[in-house]
Amino acid sequence: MTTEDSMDDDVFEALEDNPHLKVGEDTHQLKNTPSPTGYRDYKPPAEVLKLCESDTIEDSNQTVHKTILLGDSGVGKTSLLVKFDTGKFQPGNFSATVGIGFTNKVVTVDNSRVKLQIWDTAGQERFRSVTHAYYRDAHALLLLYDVTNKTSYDNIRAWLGEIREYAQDDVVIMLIGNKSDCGPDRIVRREDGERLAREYNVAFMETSAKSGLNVELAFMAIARELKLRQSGQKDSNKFSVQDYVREETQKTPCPPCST
Amino acid sequence: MASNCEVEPGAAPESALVTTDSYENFQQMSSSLEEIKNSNFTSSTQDEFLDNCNNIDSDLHVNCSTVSVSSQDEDYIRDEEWLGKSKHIFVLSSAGKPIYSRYGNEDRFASYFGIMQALVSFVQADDDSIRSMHAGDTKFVFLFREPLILVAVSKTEECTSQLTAQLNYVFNQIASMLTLSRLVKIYEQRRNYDLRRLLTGVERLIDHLLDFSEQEPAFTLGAVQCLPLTSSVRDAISSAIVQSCSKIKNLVFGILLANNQLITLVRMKKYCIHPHDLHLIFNLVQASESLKTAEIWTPLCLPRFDASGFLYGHVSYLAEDCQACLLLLTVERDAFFSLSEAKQRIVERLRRGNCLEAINESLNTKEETCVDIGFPELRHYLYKCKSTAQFHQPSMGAPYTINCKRLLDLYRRAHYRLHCPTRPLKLLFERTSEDALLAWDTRGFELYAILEPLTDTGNAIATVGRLLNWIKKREDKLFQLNAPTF
Amino acid sequence: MNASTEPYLELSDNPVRFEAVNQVTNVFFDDSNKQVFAVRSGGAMGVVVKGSSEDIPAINFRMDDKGPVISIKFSLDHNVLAVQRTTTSVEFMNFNGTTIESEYTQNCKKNSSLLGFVWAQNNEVALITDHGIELYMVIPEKKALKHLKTTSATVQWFVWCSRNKIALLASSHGSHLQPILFKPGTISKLSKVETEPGRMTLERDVTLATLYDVPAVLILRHQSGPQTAEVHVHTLSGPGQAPVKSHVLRLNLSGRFAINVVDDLILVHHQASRSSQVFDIALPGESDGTVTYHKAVAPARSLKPTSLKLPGLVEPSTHKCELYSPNWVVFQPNIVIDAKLGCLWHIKLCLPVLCSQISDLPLCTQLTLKRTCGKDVLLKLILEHAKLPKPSLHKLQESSNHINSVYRSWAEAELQMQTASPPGAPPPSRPPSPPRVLINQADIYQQVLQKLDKEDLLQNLEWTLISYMTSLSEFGIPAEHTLNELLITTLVRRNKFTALMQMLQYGVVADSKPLACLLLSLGNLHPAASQLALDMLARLGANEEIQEVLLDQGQLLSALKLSQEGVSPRKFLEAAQNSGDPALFHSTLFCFKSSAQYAHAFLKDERLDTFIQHYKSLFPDSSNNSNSK
Repeated sequence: MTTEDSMDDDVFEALEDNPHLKVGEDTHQLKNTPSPTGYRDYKPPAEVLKLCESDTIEDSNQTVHKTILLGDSGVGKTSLLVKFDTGKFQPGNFSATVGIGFTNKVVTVDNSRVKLQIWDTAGQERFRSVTHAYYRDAHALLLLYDVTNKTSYDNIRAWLGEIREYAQDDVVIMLIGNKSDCGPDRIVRREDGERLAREYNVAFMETSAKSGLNVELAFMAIARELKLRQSGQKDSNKFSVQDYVREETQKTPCPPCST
Repeated sequence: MASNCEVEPGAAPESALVTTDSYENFQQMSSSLEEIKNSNFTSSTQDEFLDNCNNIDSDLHVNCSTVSVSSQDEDYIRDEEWLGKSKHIFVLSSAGKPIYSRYGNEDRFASYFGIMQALVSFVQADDDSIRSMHAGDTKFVFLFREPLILVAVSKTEECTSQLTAQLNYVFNQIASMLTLSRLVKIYEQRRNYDLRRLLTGVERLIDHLLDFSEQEPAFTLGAVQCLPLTSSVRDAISSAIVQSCSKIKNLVFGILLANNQLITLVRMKKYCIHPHDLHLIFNLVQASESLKTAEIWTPLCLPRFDASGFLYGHVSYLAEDCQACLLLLTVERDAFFSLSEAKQRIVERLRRGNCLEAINESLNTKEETCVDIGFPELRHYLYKCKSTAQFHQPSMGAPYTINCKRLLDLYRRAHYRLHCPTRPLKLLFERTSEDALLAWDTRGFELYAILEPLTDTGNAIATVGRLLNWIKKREDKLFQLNAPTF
Repeated sequence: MNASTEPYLELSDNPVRFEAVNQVTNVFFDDSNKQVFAVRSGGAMGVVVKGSSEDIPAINFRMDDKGPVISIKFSLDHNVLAVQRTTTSVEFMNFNGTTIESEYTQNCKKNSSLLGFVWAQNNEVALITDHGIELYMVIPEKKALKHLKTTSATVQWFVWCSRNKIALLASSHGSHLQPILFKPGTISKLSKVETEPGRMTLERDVTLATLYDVPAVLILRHQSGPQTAEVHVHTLSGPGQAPVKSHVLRLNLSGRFAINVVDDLILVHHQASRSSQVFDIALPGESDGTVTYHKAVAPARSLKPTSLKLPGLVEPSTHKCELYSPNWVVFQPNIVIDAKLGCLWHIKLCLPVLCSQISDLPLCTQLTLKRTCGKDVLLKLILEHAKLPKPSLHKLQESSNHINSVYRSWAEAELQMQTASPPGAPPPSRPPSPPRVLINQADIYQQVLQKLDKEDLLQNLEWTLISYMTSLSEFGIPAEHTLNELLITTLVRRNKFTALMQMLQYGVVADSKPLACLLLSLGNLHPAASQLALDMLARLGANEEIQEVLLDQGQLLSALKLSQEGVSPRKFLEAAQNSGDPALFHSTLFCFKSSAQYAHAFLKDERLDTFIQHYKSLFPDSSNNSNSK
């Protein structure tokens, strides 16, 4: 995939920025320099990539953890990612993802850095054959449905079937019911999500890209799990994600939904 | 005036764009992909992929999230707002299944689609084809392109051929998402297939395309506008792209654009891009906010280039501080990372060469109006260089800053008068109480100039003559005069 | 009485009464003086002379009875009475108004037999004998006659026309008809009346008349077939007043006829059917190139019955007069005498009744245009026709054409009178006599159109008006403003703007500024009216007015384009600003600022600053602003 890095001699020799700069601060800094092109609140992938590249060079042995966001069109995959990546919420009618979006994100788990390579897929059926090719190499899958859209929940079984077919057997799967901030528009109950997760033996949580609820947690849980597996503790507990999630969720001062 | 014919600002011996006349056959397609694959012989993924795609039954079966069909099929017949729309566009399968409606939910007037299908097939039964119907001020324009039927119902002043062109754009937009081959194959396998399953999200692109084509003279002219840059900057940008991609095989096009204007277009030797395909790319970029969030990898079919298969595009904005969008189009299905790296190298080169600043500066500079450049009697103009399929227009000045729709209508009408198949004109001068229009079609260029209404003929001709000289002096800034290759 | 069979001819109400013919009384009529002589006992018992009207006092005198009187006539000045009692001589008596003073006799030439005598002039008398004519001057003071001239000709009988001083001498049983013209002191032969060779003519079949001021010889011809009698009209209209057979009246009857002329119409009375027909030689008829064949203008009708009031012992009784009586004698032009009854009537024509029996309006128009009192009749006729539920436009227009043809000829003649003669030249010999019926636009407007100007007759008004004005236009007569105005308002009231447009385009309505103003005022009703007004003003070259109108309509640029000289920039800019159309304001301001003539005004005239400010507020980003300072 990442082929012959026989490296162009002119790639990023000089790195002026602090490689350990945190993403959030980075964003903050950029805010002060208004974009000359007039795109307000825009978070540049280039800058992020630059940071990530710096990581690659610094810890060249650091593994890249591939994570894919899946789910029906319109359930909020890109919003979830953007919220996690930039802390911003892209409002409702934000356009559909074209093909596959690629984002690198470095997070800190227990004082060590975990690099997530996140693939944001388009939910539309016509892109499905393109996205299948990426399942194979995925370490983790975030499978999203929309709690205000019954169909997106019903399709989860089909998605899981597809995952079985194309993905590695030991892939980390997390089922996410997004748009939990929806209030009265909710159609899929939290228990339904939990029940489905139990049935397929996958982790589950509800998130809101709008309020930010559990967004960080979802990705951090994945990062933690992937790191554990990499360090060989993989066999210790297959359900550590679930446990972790349960613990972390209970810590939340305001549970998103009554159970 | 005759001497001015010699002046052909923007003319170039070689063009990266296929040069085109506007009412040429839209359906014409080539099969460039086959050639590229044969000449390079790299991977067979293309075929595999197509096979995968075509096997519909093996696709993931997802319940289509269609809204429950209400029993009130004819709701819209009584909906004043719906009926009052000046232009409806419908797409349906040749079996009469609704695919797209510009306004309203197409499921709610399925019977209309039935009527449209019946009209087309009735005429077809006699080995004929229905092109248009005219009732009062309403035109019904039909386009049957296997396997789809496209219909425009318009109360606008656009003529039939302009509406047909718009329908062709819509068809090509659909084809660019699925490829024509797949589209045909789908219906061969299942005549009653509901194509909307595969077009989720595309309706937004079509909506945008329709608005876009009604607002942009580029569509009327069949040309693209370039971002004004000095030729040295433009050349530097082109060569940055060429050098950064020197080791990447099978790269077909490198396109850098910003604000609906082309910055540069680098191409594989021997291959050109058609302006219509480029318009679809402009449309995709403009309609997809999501492209700004990440690097994107997407299949994309350019119907005029090759309707039978996909190209793969790496799409990204250059940098946070430079909102130009770069598309690298290849035939390789797995070239994401190499192109992602190439993109980094391009940005770096551009940054070091101060090209990003130059682009920003041009983007931030308000284009001059006619008054600014010393043509007070000239209100606005469109200049299209035929040999490069590029055009230039000044910034909108008074009085069209208030009503620019009128300006576009004027241009559309003038363009039709010049290209009307039955009686094309070479030179048109028309004065109304609101404006004066001079339209001129020569071998090398088309010029549409809108002047003050009291301008007399002699003055109009003199002004246009001066204008051509003015454009000629700035041609290397206003147009991309070379056609760099990888 | 049913209108369609109502009589259109009548005898005068008040006939001249005289003593009827009886054993002792003979009655004579002198058609030169139109006098009836009742001679009792050869004059011894008295002679009563009555004029053609009861208003003229009768003349009474006595004369010696020297035998039966053959003919008795006063001279034209009534100073001399001539009496013929033999076939060789005429007696003359000086007359002082009441009594006979002296007598003298004139014999005709030897071997000649006197056929009659006529007073050719006041003092000239012609004796007509079987050998010719002897003309004498009567000198009453000398009680003698002086021979003036003699013309020899074979004469069997003659007919005299006192009005034209023409005698028609007949010989060879009337197959030879020789007109003789009398002038003071002389007589001259005119060309013979051309008749079919050998065709005999009876005296009673010949009438001398005047038709449309032209002397004419009317000859009744009885053809071989049944009901094929004709009247041949020979007008003395050829060179040297030569008779020309120019008209033939087809009677479609046979039998005995008598002819009168009333108002240039020929009346042919038919005794057997007791009816009369009316002919007008001025009307078109079937023509073979030289002769025009005429039919009666209306169906034959009997005269209107009349009766006499007779004084009775207790109360007056009435006597119903027999019409077409065998006792009738007819004299020219319109006199009927019943000698047995002692009555003299004039035949009168009732034109409205005649017209009512002619269904064809154009024909009727032609007829009435030639009648002395035809004007009111014709106007009423047109009004009646126009009021019909479905008047024939074609007929109305044809009728108008006849009217306007007369009008135009008259107008042309008048114009020639005023302009043709160079100064100092003698005035034309004779001013053209006005036509009998001259109908001008004011007549039509007042007598016809205004009477149609009612809501329920609007359509009729429109049709009539258009027919009339189309005709005016065809004859190149400019329509007067009142008509144009009426036409436009009528068409507008009828919502016929297309028709109005055509009228204007084809020049039926002549351009004028008042009309243009009228059209403008109708602009609210129909937008096209404004454009019509503008077009009209343009044809009139009224640029100033057009500019005002355009300005008023907010078409500032068109107004400016028309003329960019001497206009007030403020006026235009104000109008542009008030229009609320930014593009218009832009163009107007541009026009003034780019004009060499006005550009400096923006520097000098501070009042124009407000417009610059307004422009800036409309187009805040425009770089035009920089130039404007």
